[in-house]
Amino acid sequence: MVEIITQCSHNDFEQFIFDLKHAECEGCEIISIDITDITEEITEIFSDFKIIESTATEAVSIIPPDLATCDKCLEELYSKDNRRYQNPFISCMSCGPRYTIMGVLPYDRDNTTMEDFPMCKECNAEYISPESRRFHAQTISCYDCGPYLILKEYNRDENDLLDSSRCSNKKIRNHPVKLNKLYKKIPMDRYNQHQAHIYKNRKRFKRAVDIINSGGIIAVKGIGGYHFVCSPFMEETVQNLRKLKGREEKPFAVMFGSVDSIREYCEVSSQEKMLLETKARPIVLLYSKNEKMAHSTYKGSIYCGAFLPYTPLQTMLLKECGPLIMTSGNISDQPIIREDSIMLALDNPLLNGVLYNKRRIIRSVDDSVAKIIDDKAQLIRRSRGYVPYPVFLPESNKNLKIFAAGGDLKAAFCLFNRGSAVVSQYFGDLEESSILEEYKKSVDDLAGLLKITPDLAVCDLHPNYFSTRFAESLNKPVIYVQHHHAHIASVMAEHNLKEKVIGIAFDGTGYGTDGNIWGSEFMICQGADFERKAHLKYIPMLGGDQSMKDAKKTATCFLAGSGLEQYIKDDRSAIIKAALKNQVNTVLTSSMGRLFDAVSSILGILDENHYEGECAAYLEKEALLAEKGKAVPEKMSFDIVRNDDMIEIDPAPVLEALCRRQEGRGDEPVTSIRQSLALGFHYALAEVIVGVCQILREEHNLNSVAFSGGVFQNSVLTNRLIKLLRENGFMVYYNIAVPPNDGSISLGQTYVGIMKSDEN
Amino acid sequence: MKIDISYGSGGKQTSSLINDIFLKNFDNEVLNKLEDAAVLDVKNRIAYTTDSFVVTPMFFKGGNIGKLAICGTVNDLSMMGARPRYLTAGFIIEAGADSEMIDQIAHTMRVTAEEAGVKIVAGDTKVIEGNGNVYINTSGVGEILKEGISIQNCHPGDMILLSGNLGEHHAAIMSERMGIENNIASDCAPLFSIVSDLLENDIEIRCMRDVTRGGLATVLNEVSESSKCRVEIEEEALPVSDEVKGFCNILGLDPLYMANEGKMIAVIPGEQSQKAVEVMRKNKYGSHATIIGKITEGNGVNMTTALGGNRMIDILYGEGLPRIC
Ligand SMILES: [Fe+3]
Ligand SMILES: [Mg+2]
Ligand SMILES: [Zn+2]
Ligand SMILES: [Zn+2]
Repeated sequence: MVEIITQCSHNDFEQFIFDLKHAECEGCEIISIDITDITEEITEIFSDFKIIESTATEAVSIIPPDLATCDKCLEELYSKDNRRYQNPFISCMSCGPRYTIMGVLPYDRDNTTMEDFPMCKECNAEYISPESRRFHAQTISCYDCGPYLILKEYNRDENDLLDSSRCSNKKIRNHPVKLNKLYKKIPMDRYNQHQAHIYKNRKRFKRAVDIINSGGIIAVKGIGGYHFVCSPFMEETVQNLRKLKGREEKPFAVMFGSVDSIREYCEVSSQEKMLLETKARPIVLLYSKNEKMAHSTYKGSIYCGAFLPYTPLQTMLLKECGPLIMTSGNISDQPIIREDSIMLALDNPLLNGVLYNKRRIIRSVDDSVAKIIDDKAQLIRRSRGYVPYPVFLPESNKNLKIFAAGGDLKAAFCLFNRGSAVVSQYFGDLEESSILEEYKKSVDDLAGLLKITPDLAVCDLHPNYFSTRFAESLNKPVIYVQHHHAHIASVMAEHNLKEKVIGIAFDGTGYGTDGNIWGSEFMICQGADFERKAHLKYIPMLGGDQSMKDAKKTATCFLAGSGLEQYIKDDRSAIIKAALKNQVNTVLTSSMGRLFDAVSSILGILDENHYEGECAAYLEKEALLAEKGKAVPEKMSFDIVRNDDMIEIDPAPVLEALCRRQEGRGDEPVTSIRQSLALGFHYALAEVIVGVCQILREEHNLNSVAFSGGVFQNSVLTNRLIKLLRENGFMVYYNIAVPPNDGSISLGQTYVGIMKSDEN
Repeated sequence: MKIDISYGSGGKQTSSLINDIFLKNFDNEVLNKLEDAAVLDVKNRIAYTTDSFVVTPMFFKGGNIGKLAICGTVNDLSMMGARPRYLTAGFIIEAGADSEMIDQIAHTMRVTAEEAGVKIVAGDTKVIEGNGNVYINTSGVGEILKEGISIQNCHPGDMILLSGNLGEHHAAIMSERMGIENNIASDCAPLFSIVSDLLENDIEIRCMRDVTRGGLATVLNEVSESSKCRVEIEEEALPVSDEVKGFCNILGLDPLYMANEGKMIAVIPGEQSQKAVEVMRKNKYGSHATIIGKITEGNGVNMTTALGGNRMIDILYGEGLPRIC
């Protein structure tokens, strides 16, 4: 919080406020301006504008997120006569790490890990001069103060690295070796320490570049942790990277030097360009228009997770190497590595080097992921660059401080105090102990930073969630919020929706109030309350997390549950059917995510989820290709069935249409029929959603629709749905500031917690 | 012949049930006296336990309810380092049960009791209305051979041994219930011989537990809580037969939570653990014995997964509830 005292004419004051509101101010953001008349209290006359030392205050603290390198620093980075020429740690008041290097508030150098690097005379002069771009820039540094690049190189057999002549990318092929001999001939002792630092930094940097360009993989320390970095063009290298990470299957994020460079591979709209260039520098999911990169980089996905550099070192690496895979430096489902000792101890034969420095990272923060939907930016993973910037919610009547535990997958918790809800960084799946540990530690950490001691814990209803157990262990009053209610509440929170809304939550699975596994819920929501009004017809399925990943088994269960046994193609069907009939380890589920899995398997697209949402993503791909190719969507429709007070959506006619059409395709090519079936399925789903909304509108006189849940990460479905809802006169709301997936749960839980406590 | 409600009257039909089935099968000098209570000679301190058995179906591949009733109580006694000596058996029979079936159950009990070295020295029978099911309660006493074996006794540095493959009883019962043909048989077995082999070979035993309802996960959590220590196991070390593995995969079951009726864990000081495995493996009920993990400082049960991750293993709160979204 900044306090400014003005002593001037009314007109000047108005002008000042106007300028303040419209100022382009880098490195800061104006959330609100409160004006108080203090003429009575202050007798002193001030004559100059002074910035005085910050003191720890009681007010709601806003912790700055990490910021990408600013344009001015980039300019200096490449100005030969600048004393920070090619210094990979250049930063200023408007850029550099913040949240990840901060011990306690206020954000001052001594409270950051920059305290390990005492300022040199010159840096200090900049630091204390109000005219300087680095006035009170806590991350200020140079070749004299450090930090410095360190390269730990593993002496792997050079033959293990790819022969660069095999590389298809010309830019890289022509590169190796020529750039690193510039300084070698100069004897070191002729230079003072300053120049020795410059020399070492550059030498290490060039060596790292050489390793990457000759097909190696290096770990590079970034802002919120390490990245694994390698060329996206060399198939064997990328395969090695997948092995190094523990057989990971997800498409890798690729960092590009510029938007123009991205355009060689992906379509970039003007909104997407803006999103790529925001200071948070999220990974942006873009439609990838060709397969110029190695297959293992995207694994056939139509989306490329593209982003721009946000540290000076990344900028420099991209300049030398061209586009690079920059994937979080972690092994399979474990947390991103931030500590040098842990990365150095990894010593995996597939890792050729570690490029790091001694600036400690206090918090692991992954890269954020975002995309454009409905012409607006939507977060898919909210982390670096956004966290811990608050989401502003209505204040609680009771000055209540709340901890909301979030969900178990894509875990993120939320701390609430006085209208400010701080959603934590993304952690991953809490089933992994090291992730759970990190999560628990971060609760203490962030609560300490924000000076929040929660009075109330809010968590999911699921009895087996690790996050639920953790919330219960805090010895505070606990409020349990049904998973899908939390999804919808997160949208209500974001848009401050006070009216009754039709909430739609479609996702994988969540624990329902009737003990069944919910996953496609229509609820009428207001305040802390919800009433479930419609859902996908319950289908008996086999239980356990493993079953949920097996799309083929899911298809078998759906077909068996829809009276379409003749279409089952599963050599396990006898035992599956016997288990369903005898209710051995079965659950009843209305999961929409599982319906997408089933359809993916039925259409022969993919039979197994190696990571969350994989089958659905490849089904979406077929539909998107159909849309792009202007294919005609196959006509099919869901049944809407009334069951007492509950509306059930029966997928049987859609499943039958898919099976029958596919089998009777005759001479038509498989791919084209598959694409129009996939598109038809998406459109039929959008239509039935609108159909149910119309019924609810008529019966309950409602006009606002709020939807959330992982299924709505599907752009084909979501774009179609938004369009149809608007055509039918609905007001449409969805997540923007928090992801529609389980990253939104903690915010929704917080909202319900506030509403519940205000009711009492 | 079908048992009807008159067999519970206490009259002639009741005594024919007792004579023609139970006395004929169990036949031993203490029981045959038909006194109001059995009078027993026991030398050492005794271990004493009871358990009731309810299972559908009553007959399954690898055994029946009678075998379970003997093994369950015998194993509980054995796990305390006791030599099982005497059992009592109480039967609650629903009208409609077949007397030949009961005879078969009683016969299995006799054979299993002999193998385990116990005598059935007292019993009781009641007949109630119902659908022909049989429920059995057994209680038993055993002589303590080795004092101080306790679930509170595990120390950091100890190793955890498992006597064989997981999940077989549970999988066999489920297969029967679903009418599925496969080769999975219940592992139901009396485990005293493994215990006596360990003791004879001077293995120091901290604690033993049979792995029954709730599965290995539950047993290990009991160890961690009672001994105030951390239990660390390796997923890749857990023995599961390929057939059970495939079965679990299809049904979405986790062998960690599945019941066995002839498997035990033993917690053994690190330096003796290798020898203990060798002793176990020589026993016919321990041929797949293996070290699955160790005791360390801390709390909870942690499993290192095949992919190198770590997972806290809790007891199960709701069967089959998927967590993933
Ligand atoms: Fe969800
Ligand atoms: Mg027992
Ligand atoms: Zn800057
Ligand atoms: Zn300096």
